[in-house]
Amino acid sequence: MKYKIVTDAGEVIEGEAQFKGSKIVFLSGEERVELEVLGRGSKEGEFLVKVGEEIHSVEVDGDFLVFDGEPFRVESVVELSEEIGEGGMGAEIGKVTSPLQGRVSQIHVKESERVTRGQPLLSLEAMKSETVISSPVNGVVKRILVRRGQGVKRGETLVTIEPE
Amino acid sequence: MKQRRSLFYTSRPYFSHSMPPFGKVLIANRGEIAVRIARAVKEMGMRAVAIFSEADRGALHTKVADESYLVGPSPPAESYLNVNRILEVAERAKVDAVHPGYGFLSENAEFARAVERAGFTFIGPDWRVMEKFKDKVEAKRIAKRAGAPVVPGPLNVVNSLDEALKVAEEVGYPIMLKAAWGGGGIGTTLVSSVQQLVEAFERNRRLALNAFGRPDLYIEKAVLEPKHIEVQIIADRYGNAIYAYERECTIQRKNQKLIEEAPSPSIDQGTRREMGEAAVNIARDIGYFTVGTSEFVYSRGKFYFIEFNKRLQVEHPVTEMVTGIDLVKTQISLAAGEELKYSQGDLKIRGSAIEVRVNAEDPLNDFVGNAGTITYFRQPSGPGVRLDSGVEQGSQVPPFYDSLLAKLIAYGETRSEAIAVMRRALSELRIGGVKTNVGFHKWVMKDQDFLEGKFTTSYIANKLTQFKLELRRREIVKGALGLLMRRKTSKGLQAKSTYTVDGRIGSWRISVMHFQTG
Repeated sequence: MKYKIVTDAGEVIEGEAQFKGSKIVFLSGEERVELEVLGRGSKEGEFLVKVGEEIHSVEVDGDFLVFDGEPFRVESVVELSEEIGEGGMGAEIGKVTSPLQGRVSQIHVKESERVTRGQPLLSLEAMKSETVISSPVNGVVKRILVRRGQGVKRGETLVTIEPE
Repeated sequence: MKQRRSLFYTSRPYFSHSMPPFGKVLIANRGEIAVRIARAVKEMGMRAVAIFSEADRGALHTKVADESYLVGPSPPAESYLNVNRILEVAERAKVDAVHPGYGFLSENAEFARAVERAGFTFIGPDWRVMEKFKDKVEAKRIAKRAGAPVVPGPLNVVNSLDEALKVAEEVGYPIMLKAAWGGGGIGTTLVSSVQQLVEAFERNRRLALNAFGRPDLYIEKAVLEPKHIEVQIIADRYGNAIYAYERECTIQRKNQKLIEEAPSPSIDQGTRREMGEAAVNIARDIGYFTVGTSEFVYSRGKFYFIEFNKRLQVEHPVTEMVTGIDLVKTQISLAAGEELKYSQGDLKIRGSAIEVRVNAEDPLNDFVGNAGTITYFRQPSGPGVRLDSGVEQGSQVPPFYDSLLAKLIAYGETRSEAIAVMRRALSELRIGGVKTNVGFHKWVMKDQDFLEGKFTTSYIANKLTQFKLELRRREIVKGALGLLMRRKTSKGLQAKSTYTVDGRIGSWRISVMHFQTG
């Protein structure tokens, strides 16, 4: 089963999971992690998780999980069904979303322009720095959904690309 | 024979604080530095006045101050850079002095002048002295005149792309294309080819204009394998000037410092003295007073002046930790016209201090800033730990300003002890709700090259693949963990309907019970 997990800090983790009791094998991109809940730790609210060969501490604090001292909250878990998983994932790749809240400072491409993977599509300005958004795939720019100077939210679709 | 005293062992106070120099001080800044300054102001027996923009309603700095006033809408140009509005607040609050902090208007001579004209004391150098430094190019001229070595390059700004291309050709690539105004590495780029210069020129002009109100750029030869080392200056209005040693600020990303330490592990006593004296000579040459910093690049045993910062630095705490001097209180007293009450011989470095800048940014995505809400916050504390924070639980991190949330400073008798304290402090620090670089700092504090002091300003770029791999893996583990926990919870708790709270997963505690029973 494929999943998309979003944390409250805006981390988006997509991958395929296989559950085996208290164990999970999670494949995301080139990474493969194997996790097993071993049971309670020696502290209140703590339990121990085996990640690969290492044992890590996970704390439960309210609705937060604290993994090795880093607190996070899961905002949403979406199950991507196999059909949507294939076609849907493909369509997802072609959708270039904003990784941050900011302002569009420059647009480097035009609609129906051919782009290669890594080619700059547009630049965003936020918190006094500029971020160049590059194409994740080879393809053709279908639509540019933002204008220069426009404010964008995190996760907002900026450009759609039809992958080749 | 005159006996040398160390500040650590003398019982004499650096300044007499029996009478506070001012009644009320307005702090024309936000975030952690506004909090830091408010603390000093209060300790000196004065009242601290904060200003805030719409986006900063309820921000920590407004709570720590004794009074706080809305200064304007969220964009900096309409609030923290709005001279007229700030002076209106100063009038209304009946303050005696204005502290500009760093960034924003801190090095703007026109602001310092407007403050003085309105009848307040500017906590910083005199605007006439600031004007001497007009921009970074002029600062290089002054340094050269004062006998400090400077990085090769014409002592002029470049006004057009054509001119930039010509100058770059003469100087020879690689070059640094730098904003003549402001700081923080904004509008500054290492350029290795004509193509890169063409790309960077307009962009840097725009970034410089947005950040500092001036688009001017200049070019100098890039110093290869540089370390960034700077010297803290303390001077009074009467020509007394000393250096409070150096800070190593080599660990940078996109020309912005991330980790700073004092003393520098890279230089010997002789270089320390030479750099210190060069910095003092520059300050004396122009009659500089209060606190300031002379920045140098250091490469292969040689150092070159790069710029002079006419303000308090972000990384001032590491100097405070190893010298025992409170630089903010000192700055306020010197601005009020007090005399420097100690000399160079009184200063001594004791121990080692390291600072990490805790930023709301994503190390996995080119350190891009990350706005949001701090939903989880736990402060580290204990021996050798200092946290200068601008945020607390529930704070908003607006997208309008820079991404610095807090500075974590660790002190130890030796550098390795300071690193051990830092590791422990980082393990206590918990921030949730926004992406931060805490995981990155934890990685650096374990890296062998950092531990051995083997680094240049390219350190982060060189280590990118390594730390990204680890941080990416951690992110995936978090995802898997979220998935696993959720599954357990949903199975164990179908009877009770508290499972999903507006799309979020509620009540983790229950999942622990599930583990206990299962």
